[in-house]
Amino acid sequence: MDSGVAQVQQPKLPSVGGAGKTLLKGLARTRVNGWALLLLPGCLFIVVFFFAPLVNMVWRSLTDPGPSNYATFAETGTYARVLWVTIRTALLVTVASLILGYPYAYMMIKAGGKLRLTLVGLILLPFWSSILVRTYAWTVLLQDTGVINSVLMKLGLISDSLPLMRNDLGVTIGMTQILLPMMVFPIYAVMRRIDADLLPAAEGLGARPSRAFVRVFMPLSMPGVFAGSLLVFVVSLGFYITPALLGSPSNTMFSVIVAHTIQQQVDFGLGSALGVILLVVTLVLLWIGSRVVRLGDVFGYSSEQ
Amino acid sequence: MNRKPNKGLIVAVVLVGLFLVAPTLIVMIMSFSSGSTLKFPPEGLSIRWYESFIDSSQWTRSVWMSAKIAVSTVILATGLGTLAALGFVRGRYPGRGVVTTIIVSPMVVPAIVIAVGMYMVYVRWGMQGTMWGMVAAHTSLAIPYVIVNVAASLQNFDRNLELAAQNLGAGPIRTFFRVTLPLIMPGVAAGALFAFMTSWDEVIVSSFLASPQVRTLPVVMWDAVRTLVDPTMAALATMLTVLTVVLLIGATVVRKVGMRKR
Amino acid sequence: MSTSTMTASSVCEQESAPVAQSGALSLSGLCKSYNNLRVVDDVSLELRPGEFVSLLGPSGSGKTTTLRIVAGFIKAEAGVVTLDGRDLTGVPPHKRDIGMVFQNYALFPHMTAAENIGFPLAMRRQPKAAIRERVEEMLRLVHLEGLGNRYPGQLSGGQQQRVALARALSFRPGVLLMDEPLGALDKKLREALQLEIMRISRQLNITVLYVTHDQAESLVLSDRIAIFNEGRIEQIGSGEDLYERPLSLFVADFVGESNILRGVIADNAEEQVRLASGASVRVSQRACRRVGLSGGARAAVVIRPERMAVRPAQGEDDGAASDSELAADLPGKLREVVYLGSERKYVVELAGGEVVTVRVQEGTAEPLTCSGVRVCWKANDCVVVADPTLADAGSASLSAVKPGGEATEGGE
Repeated sequence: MDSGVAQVQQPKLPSVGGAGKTLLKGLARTRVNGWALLLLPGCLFIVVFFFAPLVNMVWRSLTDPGPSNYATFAETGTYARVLWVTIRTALLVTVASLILGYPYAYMMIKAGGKLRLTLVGLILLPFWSSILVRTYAWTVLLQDTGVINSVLMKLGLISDSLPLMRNDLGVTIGMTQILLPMMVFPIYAVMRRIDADLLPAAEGLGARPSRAFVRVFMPLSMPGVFAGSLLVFVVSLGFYITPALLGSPSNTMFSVIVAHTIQQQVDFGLGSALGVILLVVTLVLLWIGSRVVRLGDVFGYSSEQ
Repeated sequence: MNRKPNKGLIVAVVLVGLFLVAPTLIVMIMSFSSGSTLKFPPEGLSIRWYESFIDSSQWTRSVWMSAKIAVSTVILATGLGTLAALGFVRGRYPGRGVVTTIIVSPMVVPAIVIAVGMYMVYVRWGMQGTMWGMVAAHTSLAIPYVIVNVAASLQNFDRNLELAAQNLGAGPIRTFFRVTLPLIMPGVAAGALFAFMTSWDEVIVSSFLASPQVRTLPVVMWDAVRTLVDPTMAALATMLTVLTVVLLIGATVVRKVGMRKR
Repeated sequence: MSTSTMTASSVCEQESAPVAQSGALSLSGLCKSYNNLRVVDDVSLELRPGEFVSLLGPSGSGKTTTLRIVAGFIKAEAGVVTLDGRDLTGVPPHKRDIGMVFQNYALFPHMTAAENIGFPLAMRRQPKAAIRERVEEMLRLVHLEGLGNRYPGQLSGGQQQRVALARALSFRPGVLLMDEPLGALDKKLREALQLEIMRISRQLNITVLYVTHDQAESLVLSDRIAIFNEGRIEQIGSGEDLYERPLSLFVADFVGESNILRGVIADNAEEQVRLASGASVRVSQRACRRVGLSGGARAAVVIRPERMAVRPAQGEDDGAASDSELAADLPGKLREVVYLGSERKYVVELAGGEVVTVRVQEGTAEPLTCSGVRVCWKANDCVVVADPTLADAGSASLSAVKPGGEATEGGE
């Protein structure tokens, strides 16, 4: 108990109507202590410099020139196609990073001391590097005159350069590598908490190692899988840098269209509407996901570092 | 978990590890190429691209601008964020959900949406294209990371230590500076580091808020990536990666040393 | 019991120690509730300067809350705490000048032991040289010379405890509060530190308020003990007072081992308590009046195991002994014999179903082997208390020493 607690005494209530009485009682019972005031500067800052722009964007989308912006989105075929490409890419990236990330997380669990440190380092490093730097590295690799193509040509395996960039393939590869840490951390966090004695116990009861793994370990790791997949999917939907650099200008992802509408078309109303749509989809998915998955696992990595 | 992993797993993990690291490694090698194309393997080795970067005033100016903005962001975000974390963990107030939403949002909203929104409003406020506009934007993006880190430290903090300090004669303010703050320093430092990286690496929002006078390093990179064909970018990418590694190792070492005292 | 020798020697010490001038602590009518539950219920206590008083009771009985009210961490809803006549109501903790040792020591992990001990002096803006001197003095007092530069993480549990003690005393407060400080230590270390605490408190002549749930510990350390039960003080007195003359069943049960025989005070003669088995037990009228019991009231007779005697029954027609001092001479069956080295414990089931324990010093009598026995005790050796439980008078209870002693046995 800190001595900073200010206890608000129950006031003498005048005889107001029943509802009024309940409201006054509720307010009086609310205890706000000194510590809570420290929240104000930070929250106010975020509200002014972050939320106001978002609110303004919603306002703009409905008034510049009007809600017709949303109609434009719904009716124009381009947007539907872009949405489809975005969702498809996000799904591919999620699946790919899951396939690559699950064994990696499992290895992190099984590895001891130095090896685990190395694995963790390999995952943390890209996570901390700027997305732009990593995407640039992929452009170097995937270009027509890039590393992969020149090596393959030198080895005589191909005669013409493979189109690895400016298409969905390049975007998927790049995004998978960049978002892989985000898949690994929640899975690792959940795997860590699985009792190490469970697999030997299952085998002692007669299960073959592979069976034990599938029937015992995998189900227990599912919360991490859900959390990681949710995170990667949602982030992929809104991803900008990598699709912009590695993707094709004609078959692009949603965030790129939003930027294009604002910067090239200079249509703030429509751009805002598209932004709002992306925002709403993101929030809805996260909300649904939070009902299924403990979001603590999603941000679980911060307790590991 | 006491049996050796099977060969398939090891192979898979090695491949994934390569997948994670290869692009960066290749870029590092390329940065020392003596030729002016991105041919791999490079014909010869030289540091000319590093020199070219350092000589270019465009690049060095942007590094300086990025540094100024990042440091300002760190100071502002760490201050506001630490206070907010204290309020969040120890405060009693109605509407916890609302506050949590406010705090978490900058981490969750897609960057392009933030960029567009800020652009439209900051233009109207005369903040677009100014350094302080950038600082405001970066700070609001960084505060949540500071809060998460400091709150984690606070939750592991033994309140009895504060009671003991008060009992021994320290008033609330002296208790905070002599006992609480030193012991949550690891969390504050981690938060400050996150804040720095958030600002230093920020591309999208910064591009929208930039002007010819105010361009951060990522903004210049963003333009250069699509136009440049020589390995200058590779040199820059390598330097940035090395910086990240150094910061990461430094942070881990500081944390381990701090742990030993507890 | 070894505690009686402890008390004797400390009585001798007390006569030669100087009389303390300050540290008169007074609690009066303290009340505190959480969620409509009275956690501290009208607690009043007067401490003389230099006195060592323990707050003893089971967990949740309000002793720690009371302590924290005195320290200023919790605001009481009613009641007043005064120190040397000064009313502490509204005075924040950092202005109270009361020393406190916490259960988990609460040593500042980022400061050395010396810095911890010097902290209160630094808060009072003492000059550095004076602080250094006092810190050295305190380290000597707790036998930790030379360890001042260590961090708490580098010290053992016992050493940390001593640093905590030194820190609480370095600014020479008049009163020291201790909240179960020895709970985390093993038995040998606990006993060694108990002696240290006694020595230091006498040497400094400081008033101590000590919270514990270990009644053996409170008997060793205290001048007086306040027994807490559900937020109220049931009885205050010296260890001897509480052990020999408990005023309630709770106190009789909590302090030391006791045999409890439940029954009803005879209507016609207040000196008789009739047990369920029909047997009558003699009690002194003075004992009944002391606890305000009159004819017909439910009562419990409390006899300490070492005050009971047991002998083999001489066959079926062995009548009761005619010793006029005896309160009762009851037949029973020997159920168990436990050899404890210095004494033997006999568990006997009486005719009415009650189970009693008798402790006999080794070497004073022949060990019993037969199953038919008789148990007796002197009228002066037993105590009568009110029986508040609603269980039928036939059930007897044997309670054992609480944590720190041996295991519980028998039925409750």
